[in-house]
Amino acid sequence: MKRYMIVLAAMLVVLGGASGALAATLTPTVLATGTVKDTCSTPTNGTITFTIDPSGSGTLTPQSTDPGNTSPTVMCTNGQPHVVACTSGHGSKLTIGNDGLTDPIAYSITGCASPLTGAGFTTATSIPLGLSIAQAAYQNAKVGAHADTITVTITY
Amino acid sequence: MKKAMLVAAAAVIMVLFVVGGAYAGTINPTVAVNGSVSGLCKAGTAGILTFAITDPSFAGGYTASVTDATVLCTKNTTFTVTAQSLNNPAAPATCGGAGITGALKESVSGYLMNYTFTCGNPSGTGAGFGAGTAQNLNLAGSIAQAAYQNAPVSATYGDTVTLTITY
Repeated sequence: MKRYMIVLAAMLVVLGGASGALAATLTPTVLATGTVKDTCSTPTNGTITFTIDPSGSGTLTPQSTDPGNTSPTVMCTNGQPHVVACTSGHGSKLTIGNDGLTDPIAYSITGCASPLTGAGFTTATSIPLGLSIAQAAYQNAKVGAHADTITVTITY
Repeated sequence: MKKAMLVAAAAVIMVLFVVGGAYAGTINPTVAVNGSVSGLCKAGTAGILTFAITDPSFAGGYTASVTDATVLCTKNTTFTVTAQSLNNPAAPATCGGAGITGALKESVSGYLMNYTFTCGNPSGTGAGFGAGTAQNLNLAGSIAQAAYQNAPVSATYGDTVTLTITY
């Protein structure tokens, strides 16, 4: 009988040890990582509409920022630079019927600044651009509507 | 063992490729460019008709020496020309065909000598505004003996013909 009591005492000591462990604090941490994607969306198209006086002189420089015209816009990830390129649909020529052939008026694209820095997805960023048309290119142009389409490419 | 390592390397490369692909792209707004070339005409050089009535008794009449008048128009723009004499006013009429009758007026006496004014090209199509595109109107003038045979001697007969270009 005496031997059993000794064993019981040893068990109590074990319990006491377990009680001491419950009083300590644990501070687990969670490592949260997030990656903001570099992207662009919500493109809007622009327009450049203007009148050519073939009897005039000097270089014509219609701009997408002129009254009545609109610049293309895009929304891109805030703070990220993006390469911008502007390409004529018909070799930098305005043509009757936008067919790339009839009575071409040569021009060059101005503006189209690159890189474009995004401002997030509540603020559209404008890409102003314009045309430069030398007098020699328009002075003998046929009467009528001449058109082209410029594609703006933003790479992300 | 070697085979297992190759599989692991391939798996890593595939993962990197997929992540990279998700971030690359382009977006393409467009700009519609519309330029309208105006159809219009403008005066080029002013014409000059010079009559030299060297012999009022000459029965054959005289024709004027001419510096032609020109007009420039947008390519493909058509135009017509009418004329009106200052000293023989009438409604502007085409200067083609038989033309119009003008009057040379002596500056002091006011004596009038009628003459005929014509345009060989009373209508045409513009060729633009660059070099070599001006359209000659092919002006001409003639005066009959009846108009000058009794005219007082003077060097100051004159008239102004207004050409109206309609396009």
